[in-house]
Amino acid sequence: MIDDGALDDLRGRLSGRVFLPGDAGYDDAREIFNVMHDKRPALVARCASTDDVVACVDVARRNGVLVAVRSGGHSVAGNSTCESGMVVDLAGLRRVEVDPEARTARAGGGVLWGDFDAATQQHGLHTPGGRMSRTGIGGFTTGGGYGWTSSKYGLTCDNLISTEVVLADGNVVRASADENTELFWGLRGGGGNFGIVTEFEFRLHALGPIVLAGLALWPVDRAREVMSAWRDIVDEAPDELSTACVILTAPPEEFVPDHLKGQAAMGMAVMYVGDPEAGVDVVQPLKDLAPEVDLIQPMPYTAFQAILDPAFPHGMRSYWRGEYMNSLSDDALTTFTAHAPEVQAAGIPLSQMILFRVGQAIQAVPDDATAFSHRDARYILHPISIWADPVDDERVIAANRAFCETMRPFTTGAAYLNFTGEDRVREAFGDAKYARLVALKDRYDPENMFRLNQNIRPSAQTGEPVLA
Amino acid sequence: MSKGFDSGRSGFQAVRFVAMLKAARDFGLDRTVVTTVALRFDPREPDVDGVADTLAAALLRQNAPALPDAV
Repeated sequence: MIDDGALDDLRGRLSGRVFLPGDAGYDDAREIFNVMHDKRPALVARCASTDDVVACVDVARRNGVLVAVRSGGHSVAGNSTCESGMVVDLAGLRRVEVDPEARTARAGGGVLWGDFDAATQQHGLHTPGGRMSRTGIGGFTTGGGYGWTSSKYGLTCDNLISTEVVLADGNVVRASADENTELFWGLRGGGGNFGIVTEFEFRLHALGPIVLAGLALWPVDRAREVMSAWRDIVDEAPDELSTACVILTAPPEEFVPDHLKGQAAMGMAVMYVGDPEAGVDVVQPLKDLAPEVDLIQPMPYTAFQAILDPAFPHGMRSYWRGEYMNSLSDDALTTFTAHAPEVQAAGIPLSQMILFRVGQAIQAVPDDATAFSHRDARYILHPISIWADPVDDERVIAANRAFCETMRPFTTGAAYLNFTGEDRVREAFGDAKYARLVALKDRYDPENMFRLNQNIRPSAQTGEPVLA
Repeated sequence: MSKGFDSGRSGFQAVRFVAMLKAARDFGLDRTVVTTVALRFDPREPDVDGVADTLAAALLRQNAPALPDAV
């Protein structure tokens, strides 16, 4: 809890706003994307500057207050809120500055991907970013960041030039390839363990504003055949081809044939990361698989970046997994297509069982260059369960877990932490890299102030030996 | 925001927008015009009905029969 004196101290230093229980706006300020985490923080501090974040950290440290950090509030694990503590809300740090000559952008820690894309696309530039426009850049980037254009340009964290970070001791530092290099290594994949990033500087790449992209849809009984052909095509395709397949419920839209509306179906998302004209021949083999709905065409990059937004509405309950796969065998496809519709049906209509093709440019970065791991994976199994009624929690989550267990012979056992709400931190990094991260945690946050995340516990709390 | 598909529409505004672009192309609307309309779309404030109206008006203009000078 936070006492009145500490609260007065904070209010005296904060240029942003404080929301307390009972205040107008408190309930909106405390709600996050996944309402399974319906928590009541003692306060939400909506920061408007780096100094505000420093004030929050100082007050929390001096008073032993639990801290949660919120960029966009899209953590499926619910890490951007807490019970009875302080939410450091970065929503006031929403500025994006683009330097089109240098092809760089600086973005505040509370910027959402939709805002970032809108600002950079004004100059025909982008960096690989979230596939949902309301995702915050903070947790997404520090957790690694798979975007549609990662096939060509790597992870979001691979495009990070520098960061401004508020540390647990209240100091503000920059981390880059030249300054605080070990911290910069850890911030690229190690999540929010080492401080609060108040500014990101990204490298930008030319793309858009029009790209060749879109969605296609088949009846679910064609899923095995189409996904087999998809695998064979994408495994031989250039890095410009970015794709995913998904078992979903076909929406009741005008462009969906009546016999598919509301039924389980197989979808495919496609983006050619380059000149749309150059992509026509590359994409054509996928269009030749004769989808019943084919919306793959030239479209604005920003529209494709937002195309999945309604599948993830606020106010719903979510359970996700992110399981790496090194290959996609015939047996894996048979198992996926046999069981995905069952688990998808456990949470209709919004649940989706996704297989992303990854690897490509992500593999080109050496594994030890960043904290992010498992760059050698070629696919990610991403079963997303979404439902409304708490009564269904146990049933839906059990179905998702059982599906992952059924797919376990084909997955590596490692997890992509941005896609999971469970504690699988060690599996995400492996022993050697985890030890390096613990050493970094010991240096920058030995008291584990920043523990509401995919937490790397300092050695003082685990009793395990410190890395020499 | 819809909690599902109960309203009869999924709320997939960007997908509906993309479907309209496709329909406009299929109806033969000049690709440059389609692109111009497409680039006005802001997914953060989607006005899909406005896009539909704009595309329909452009199609009507493009396909309007030439009238004899005497008319």
